[in-house]
Amino acid sequence: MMRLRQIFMMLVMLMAFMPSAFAQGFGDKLVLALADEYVDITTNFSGREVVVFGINETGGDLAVTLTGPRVYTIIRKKGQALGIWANVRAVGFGNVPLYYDYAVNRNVTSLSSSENLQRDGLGINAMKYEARARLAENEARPFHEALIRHKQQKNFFSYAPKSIDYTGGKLFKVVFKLPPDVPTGEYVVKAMAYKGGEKISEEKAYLQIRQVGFSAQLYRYAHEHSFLYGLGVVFFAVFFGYGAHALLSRR
Amino acid sequence: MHVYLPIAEMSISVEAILTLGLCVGFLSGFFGVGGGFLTTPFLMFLGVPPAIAVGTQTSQLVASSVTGVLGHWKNKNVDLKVAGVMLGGGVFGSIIGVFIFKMLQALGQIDVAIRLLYVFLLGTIGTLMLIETTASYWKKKKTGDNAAGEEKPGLMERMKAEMRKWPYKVRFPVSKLHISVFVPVGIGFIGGMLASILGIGGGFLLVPAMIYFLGMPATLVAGTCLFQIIFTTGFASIMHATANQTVDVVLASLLIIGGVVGAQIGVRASRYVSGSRARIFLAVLILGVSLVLAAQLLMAPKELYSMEVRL
Repeated sequence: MMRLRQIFMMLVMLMAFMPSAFAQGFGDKLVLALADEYVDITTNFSGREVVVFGINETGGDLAVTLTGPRVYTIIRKKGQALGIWANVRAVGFGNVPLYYDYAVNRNVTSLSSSENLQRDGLGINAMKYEARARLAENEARPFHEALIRHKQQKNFFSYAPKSIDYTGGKLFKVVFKLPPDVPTGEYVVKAMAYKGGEKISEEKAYLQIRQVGFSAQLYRYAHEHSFLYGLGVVFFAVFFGYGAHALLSRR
Repeated sequence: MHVYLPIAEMSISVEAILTLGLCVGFLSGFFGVGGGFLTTPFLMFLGVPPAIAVGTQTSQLVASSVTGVLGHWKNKNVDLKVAGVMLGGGVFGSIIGVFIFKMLQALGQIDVAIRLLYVFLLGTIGTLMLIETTASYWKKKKTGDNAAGEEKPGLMERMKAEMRKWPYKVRFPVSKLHISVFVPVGIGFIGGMLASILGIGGGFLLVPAMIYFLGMPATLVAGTCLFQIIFTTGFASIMHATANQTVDVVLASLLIIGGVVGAQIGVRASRYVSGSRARIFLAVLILGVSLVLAAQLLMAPKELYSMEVRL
């Protein structure tokens, strides 16, 4: 079913954009579309693929990023205090994406200068977050490295970039794989084209990752009516405990 | 098979949680303890954030305590007055506990604090139990020998004597006690604090305290303690849900289901093992858990850095 939808999407895009592209001549056009604008998390959610389609008429090198909501993230360092290992130092980073993945077809560093890559948020190493503490560069570095290491271990940052699939000339496709515990929120898909070390075009699309159905209702209820939710859980537990006793003492 | 936990916002293996519930249920059936001291560390090991592990565990304890208390209730082994008075302290302890929990969380020391408390409590109780059980085992063998324990009048004896002098004495007719109201209130207070900070019922601490400091008849202790635990854990659960939104009903259900089945297996298995031998097993298990946690605190960790995302 997924495959059919993908083919359908490609055809739609071909029909929609190719004639206009021909009419205008080959400009610096970059077109982007998502196979699904929503990723619905239900109780049996176990990860999903996000399929990005697009047309690159720029002739430049292409890069696609998938970035989750940005939040404040704290990295703590353990040290020995009174003989036990406890957290002794903490550095907070602002604007850390909950999730980050990207796709390129050649070495990221060969696309543009490191300043440009940092500005565009392209590549794991290009990402610099503001440390919310006055720290010397060499002091902040181990915390920054730990942040990336932790994100990668959780599969929230990719170890290596995905590749961009050119299916028909200028038509491209990128597949990102979301892990089962992917954070919810609004994600940004950004396609950027580079030529001669400069960004020549950029296009964005938005992806909503959200809990739906029973799971979402529980989440909403637990946050909006937290007292009643707590009471409900306790009643449920009492009921279950009573039921278990009734069931088992019969034997 | 994986299931998505709506409050923890993560996907987790159903088998792992059911197995954990099964093991904890087995312990409660076999030894008559809640087994919460195993659940919280193990959930944390599976990647569940400590706050959600503790919050959710409290609601699972409600279910297992209800199952456990009903048998005692039928045999009229619950002293409602003692339980009620303990509960007064328990509710207060729960509130203070949730507050301390929140504070430690903000300080970023919740993991260390939980581990330290576990090491201290489990280490002390485990050691005392092991000494007591092996001592009685030895006594049986050499009947003529004088017990070494009688040499010291001891801090505990003095504390007990001191408590007899406390004011506001109240009669507890069912347990045939005449004792200061502060003793059961104090025991309940500690139980309530343990429930909200560690996510445990605290039976392993409350039962000896009720026998020793309150001087309750042994037949009434288990039922009364369980009855009281239903309310402190229930209260802690509501507090965690309201103040921190850290009670995951899907995770709780899985733990409860595993626990019910495990408890049945435990009760059956306990028929094949003598009580004193079971107590030695339990002491060794408690000590084992405390040693593992102590090692985590004392040994240099492989990963010095940890991450917390503030949403």
